[in-house]
Amino acid sequence: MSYDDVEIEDMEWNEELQAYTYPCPCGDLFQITKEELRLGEEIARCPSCSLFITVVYNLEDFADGSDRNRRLQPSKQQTVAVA
Amino acid sequence: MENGKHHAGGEERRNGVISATAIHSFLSHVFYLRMVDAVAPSHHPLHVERDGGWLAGRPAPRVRQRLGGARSAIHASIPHPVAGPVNVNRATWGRDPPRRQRWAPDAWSLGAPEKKRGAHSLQVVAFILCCLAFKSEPIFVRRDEGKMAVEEARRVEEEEEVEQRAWSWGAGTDGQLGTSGLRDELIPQPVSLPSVSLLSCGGAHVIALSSDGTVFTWGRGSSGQLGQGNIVNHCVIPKAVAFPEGFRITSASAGWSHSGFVSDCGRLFTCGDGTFGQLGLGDFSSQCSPIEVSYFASKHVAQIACGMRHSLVLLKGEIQNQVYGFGTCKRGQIGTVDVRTKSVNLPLVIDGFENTEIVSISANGDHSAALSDDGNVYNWGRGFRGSPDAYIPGRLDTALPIKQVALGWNHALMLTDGGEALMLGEHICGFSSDPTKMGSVNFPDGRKGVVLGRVATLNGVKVVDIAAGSEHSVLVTEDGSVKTWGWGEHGQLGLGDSGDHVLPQVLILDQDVANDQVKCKVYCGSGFSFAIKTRNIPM
Repeated sequence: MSYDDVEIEDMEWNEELQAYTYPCPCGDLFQITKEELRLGEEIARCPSCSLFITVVYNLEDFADGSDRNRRLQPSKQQTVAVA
Repeated sequence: MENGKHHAGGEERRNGVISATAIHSFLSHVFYLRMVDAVAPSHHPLHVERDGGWLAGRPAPRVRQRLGGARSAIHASIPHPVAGPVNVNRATWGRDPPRRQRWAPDAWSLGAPEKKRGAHSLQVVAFILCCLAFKSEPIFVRRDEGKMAVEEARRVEEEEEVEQRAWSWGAGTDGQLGTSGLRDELIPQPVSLPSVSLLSCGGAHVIALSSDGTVFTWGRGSSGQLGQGNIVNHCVIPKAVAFPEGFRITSASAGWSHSGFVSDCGRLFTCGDGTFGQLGLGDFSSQCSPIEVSYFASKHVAQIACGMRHSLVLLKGEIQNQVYGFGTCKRGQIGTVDVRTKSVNLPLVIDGFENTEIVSISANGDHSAALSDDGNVYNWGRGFRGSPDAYIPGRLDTALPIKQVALGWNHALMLTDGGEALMLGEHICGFSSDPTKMGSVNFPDGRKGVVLGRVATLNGVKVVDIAAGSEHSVLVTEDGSVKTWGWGEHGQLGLGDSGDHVLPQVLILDQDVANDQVKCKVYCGSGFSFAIKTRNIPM
């Protein structure tokens, strides 16, 4: 059973993982790549445990592989200020 | 627990301890080491771990330290810097002081004058000889003071040492267990910690306040949440966090990937992931060192609670605007905000507590909660399964006064004044209290259908502490027993396997024969848990 339904806009783009992520209750991150989204996959899995979530998104935003989905990428992965 | 309770029970009757009072009296003269702040014990003239201590079975690292002045004496056999204790503000345990004393002993908030010190080689020899003579049995002495007045009990407690042992279990691949490893642990592992007055566990990191006010962090630091001034993926052992000169941290909270710290003078510092404004610094950047939240510079912050992507702040001495929130607000986590707004990076007042004094706040996942001085629980944010999100704090109609709240991601635990554990919502693996289910409850604000029940299988034994992970729960009963239930895939139940349990299961930490003399506190991060047992040792 899907742990949760999460809108794509609530997921964070992780540059290192090249995937959209969302916190998993085990401490790791649910992950789904742009390619998976483009193929219509809606399950984001946690690499550490058996849980998965259902990603709610518009397939058209990813289907053509264009930059239309750029708006879905919040300005995340900002540089962390080092004092 | 009453303050004096730790002392009741008469003299220790362990084998090999003959005339314990006399031995103790003797040892109290030879035992003390001079502890210079933050000097590793290995530099000490005396560094002796005596096995077979007060907790038989699995030996856990032990910190013994004397309550007292700023540079008190200490017995330590741990690999980390340890400093002597000074006053520790206990406001973080979540209750107003007059009521708190009844159930959360202020054993760490003492400031008794120091007695003797000194570490002479003769004393060391005497100590070793003495240990040999008595088969290295622990020499723990109890005083019969059942008839002592409360004041007298407190005076005696001020002259005591405390001894702590800590264990961790569950998800550990980010180093959050503090065991120097990067793997999950299915059974409780002994952990070397500085003497801890407060622990807060987040998504995969931990904040500990040591008794002398030093802040330690470990675990995942990929967003700067450890506050150590740099990005570290895994910090496997506790490291100290630097704060501006003159600020003494007395309260802290670990969220999913951010951290908050409150100083004794009511200043607030945050660090870690700021993507959703959850640092309250007016922007969406992340920080790897604690930065003061200037919004509260002229106010007195009492507590911070960090959730997944939001933070709550409780102010001291305010009637109208007691609770603030910042961070993501999409599900009502910080109260009512314009529906078009998804996150807020400056503190906003959360309304709904008029004519009520809030004494503690909680945040986890997308949930928020506050506890009032009259024992009412207010809840807002994401709805528990079966109920809608709430954008206004709603008072939960439990009919029983509540003294502690612990939030998970889909459930909440509440501890009643009478020592009953209640559960709201449910774990991923189901609800725990079928036999005594209280049925669904309604909120006065119209929300309906949230499942509330008494936690089952406690057989009337009172509960003294509760903690909630994202999908698991831990409690401590008055007889010192620790029980866990919920999701167990990463070993977060500590039962030796990765199975789930709907009903609370007894967790084996040790074979301690005198659990009633020990105060146990439990803490949960998302998929891991800590237990800390503290014992007062009369001088």
